Amino acid sequence: MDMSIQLKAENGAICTLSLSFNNEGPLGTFFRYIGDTATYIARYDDLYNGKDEKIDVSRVAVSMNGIELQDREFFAAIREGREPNASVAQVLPCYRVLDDLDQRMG
Amino acid sequence: MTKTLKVALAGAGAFGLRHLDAIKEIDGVETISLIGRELDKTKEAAAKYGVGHVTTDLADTLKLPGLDAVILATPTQMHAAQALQCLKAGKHVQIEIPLADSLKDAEAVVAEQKKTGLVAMAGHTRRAPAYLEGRIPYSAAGRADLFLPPHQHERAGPATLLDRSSALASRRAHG
Repeated sequence: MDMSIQLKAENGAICTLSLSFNNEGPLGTFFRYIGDTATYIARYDDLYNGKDEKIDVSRVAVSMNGIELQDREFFAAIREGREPNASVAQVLPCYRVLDDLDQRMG
Repeated sequence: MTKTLKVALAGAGAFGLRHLDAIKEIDGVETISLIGRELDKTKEAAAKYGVGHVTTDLADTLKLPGLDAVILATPTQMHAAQALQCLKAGKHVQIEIPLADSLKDAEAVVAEQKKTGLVAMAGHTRRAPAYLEGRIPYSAAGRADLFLPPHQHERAGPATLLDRSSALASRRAHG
């Protein structure tokens, strides 16, 4: 199964998502993000530019482990009594889009 | 020293264990209960990580004194119901992706969160870290916050793939 989804954001930006299960190699080993000013390739927690040069993201956060960062955010929000990034309210639009796509595909 | 947060983890599969590994690295947080479908395997994991309480029923865990929060790394179809169960028991909850397998259920979780005022967070990994806090320049951050959680790569399937696209769309729409 191959799939392509085109989305237009509220600011007019067009996003194209292309997925292929015909790609040789393990599923989902990398994602290529093609933007209007640059291309980035994400391989798990590592980041490369379009020329396959590694980008140092080691100082971006306290850990290179995405799950640890996610858990840190959860615990920090509890301690600080605030809404976390990726709160259920913040991510609800994802599920609205999913539902909309689902309806259209019947 | 601030009070130690007491957390429970539901789902002792490969992904749940990654949360246990992560929590070990975080000061002031203790995993006090592990909930799994198979008691033997769950006990084994609990012993390895030094977790004192093991059960196959989330309701048992929710009765534990001092419990602050639950992380749900259970199968998708259980997410929304368990999230509601945790919130109704007065516990903060983090739900691994996807939050729910229907819009209606996702909305129900959001409604309960608003009612209780507790922290309810979805495991959209790349929305959590510093990319969103302006610690790296926009030229990179504008792209970086579109990155998908690495663990999603391991769960290929139409639903999660759609989730990726919609997460991306959401970021674009609100970025």
